Amino acid sequence: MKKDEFYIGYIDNVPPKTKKKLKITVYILLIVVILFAIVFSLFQNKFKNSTFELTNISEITGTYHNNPYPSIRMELQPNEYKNVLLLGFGKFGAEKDIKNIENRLMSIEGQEVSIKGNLVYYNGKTLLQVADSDEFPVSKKESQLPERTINSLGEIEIEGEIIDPKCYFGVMKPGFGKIHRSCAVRCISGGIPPVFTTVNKEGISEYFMITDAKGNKINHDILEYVGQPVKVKGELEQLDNWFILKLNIEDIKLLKGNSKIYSN
Amino acid sequence: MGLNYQLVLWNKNKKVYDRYILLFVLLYLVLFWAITLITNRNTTLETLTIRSSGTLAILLLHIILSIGPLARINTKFLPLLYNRRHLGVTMFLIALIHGGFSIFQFHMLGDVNPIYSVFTSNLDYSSLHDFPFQVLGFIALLILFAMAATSHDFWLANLSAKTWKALHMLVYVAYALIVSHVFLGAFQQETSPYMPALIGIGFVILVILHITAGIKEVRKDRQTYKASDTDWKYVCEIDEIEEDRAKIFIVDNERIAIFKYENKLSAIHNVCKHQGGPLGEGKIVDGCITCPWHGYQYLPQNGQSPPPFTEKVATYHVKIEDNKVYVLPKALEEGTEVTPAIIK
Amino acid sequence: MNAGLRKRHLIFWILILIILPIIMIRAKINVPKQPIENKTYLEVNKQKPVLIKEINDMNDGLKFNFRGDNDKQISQLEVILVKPLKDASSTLFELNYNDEKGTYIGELSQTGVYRFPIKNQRLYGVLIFDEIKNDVVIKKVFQWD
Repeated sequence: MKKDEFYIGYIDNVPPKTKKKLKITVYILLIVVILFAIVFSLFQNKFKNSTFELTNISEITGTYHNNPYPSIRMELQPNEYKNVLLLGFGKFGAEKDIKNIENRLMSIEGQEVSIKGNLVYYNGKTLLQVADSDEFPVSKKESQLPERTINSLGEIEIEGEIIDPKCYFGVMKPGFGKIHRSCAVRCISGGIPPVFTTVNKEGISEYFMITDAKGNKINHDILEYVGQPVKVKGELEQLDNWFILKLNIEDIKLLKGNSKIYSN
Repeated sequence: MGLNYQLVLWNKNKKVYDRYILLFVLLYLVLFWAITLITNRNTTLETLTIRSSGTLAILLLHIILSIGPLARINTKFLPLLYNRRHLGVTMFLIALIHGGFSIFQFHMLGDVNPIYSVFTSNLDYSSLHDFPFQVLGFIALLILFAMAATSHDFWLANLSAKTWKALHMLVYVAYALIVSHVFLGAFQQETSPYMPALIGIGFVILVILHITAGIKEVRKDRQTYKASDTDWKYVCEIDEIEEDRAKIFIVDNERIAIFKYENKLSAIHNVCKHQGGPLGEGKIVDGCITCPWHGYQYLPQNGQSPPPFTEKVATYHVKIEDNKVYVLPKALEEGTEVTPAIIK
Repeated sequence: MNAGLRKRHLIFWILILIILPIIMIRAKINVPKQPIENKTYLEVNKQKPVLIKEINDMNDGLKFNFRGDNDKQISQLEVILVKPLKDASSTLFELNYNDEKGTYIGELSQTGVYRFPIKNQRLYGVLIFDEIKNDVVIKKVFQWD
């Protein structure tokens, strides 16, 4: 007579045929789990080797400039300068930290200072998250400092993406694109200087600090264009190792595919 | 089961089930982390946590959604269904890790409240491509939370069964939201075709499973009769019913289970009071009709759960004439004692 | 499961069957591609015509080419940076015979091509130094045969 097996969960003994079929099911599930893990981990896009030295305090010495964005201009070698953009904690720019420093030291614009903080760097660009100036006081020197020149290179039209440099050059993987868009909006909204990045067919990138057409800081006005492919028009300037792009906000064009749900 | 509130009534099978859940979860996470750390060295712990927990939660959701229709198609999958609830709560916890870390990573330490940021950092609600995919994930997480929070039988008893079931059917909405969340989010930037292909295959499998199970049920529903007070309806020959098992008879799209046991026939409503399991697919064990899903029991002659349990199902009159089984389709009040038909 | 629930399941799955594939397919097609910008704005010195010696070191993602106006006189060191260097700053120096930092050559920053004027000599090697962290990044000795 055929054995009529019936599985009852709270009875300890599982009938034999049921047990065997259960074993096969579990083996199949095992294969599915392994396959899923392999596919979703192995085929991720490669991450960049950007760095945020979260636990290491470094010191940067150079001239402080507030424009276009708070930065320290270091002299690495005679006539070779590197501009290190300053950042605040979290998704904020350095304005509050600069204010704290200037409360104690008076104006530091154009002065030589030594600031401590956490380094952020990638692909030739370096930034510094300013450390708490109560814990790591900033020192100021009176010295003869080289003038900086910003060279104008004319009007350009260029396609790329607006990113926030703290995440892009630092710890976010990925620090660009749709996945990161919300965070970039938060950072730029909090005062972190927006940066325009392009890439050519060899995969080589260029970076441009973004200001408005007059050269002033720009944050909330470009939030809706952040993290997406855009075409922008503006005046190109060069400051040592950085480019500056003075954008006309009205001329920013989103490069979209056929994306609107409601066509107008 | 109607007793005082206990967090989990553990037994050996649940423990084994849970051990396998834990084993597979750990296996997935270890594999994912190891492969990423070896082949993609510049990853960060935050990205690793967000991606491993997110993909694991989706995998678990696919497995959970498959169990229901699989158990309808073949009873050998019933052991998977027995403790499915623990799988569901596990899935929610892992989804919570994903959602929590994502909110921290992308929205916290900024200039606005992080939840406000989830809804307002991307305002392209009128676009398909640019849709703020994180909102879809957030809503799905809320649904999963509501389900996990009410997954205990305590809630099943205290919310009405209708409310509880309506809430838990939102799992399908959560599934749709999660697939959209992934396609309008990660898959717009990750270039590998294998990832969307896997989710697409998962979608096809789930649709096929549900349609197959659905067709099977609809075929049964086809043989339906109208319920009326006085007409006895012919069910089948006595010999068609196996000993200690039942024949399911459909009237007005409702199902009646007629059980044969100890030379007697009794008829009860097919739907178990616990989670709606098909009592007619159950078996008489120790003199009680036993539900194939979680083992809830009812006495065949009156549809009552044996004391100290208090569940009751409706009963029906059944008679035998010329070795043929007839049932009166009008349901009696739940728990009504009905004299079983005697098989001579 | 009763008839009402079965109907509800059917409705949900018909909706899912119709709506999800639309979302899945439309999400993947027409994704705005990352724009490729062909103009570069970074100025690079002109390349000297004759390639005198080529040194590949793909481990660090660096290629060094010694170039000149003729094949007898080296006057340019061409550095091709293929992978981003993982350093806060990267200054290129000549490497002395006692393995120490020698003459300053120039600054390296992002990936791309750099061309530095150098004296006519077979360089023993080069050294990349991080001025901010004050440590040596890479030391490379060249094989001249």
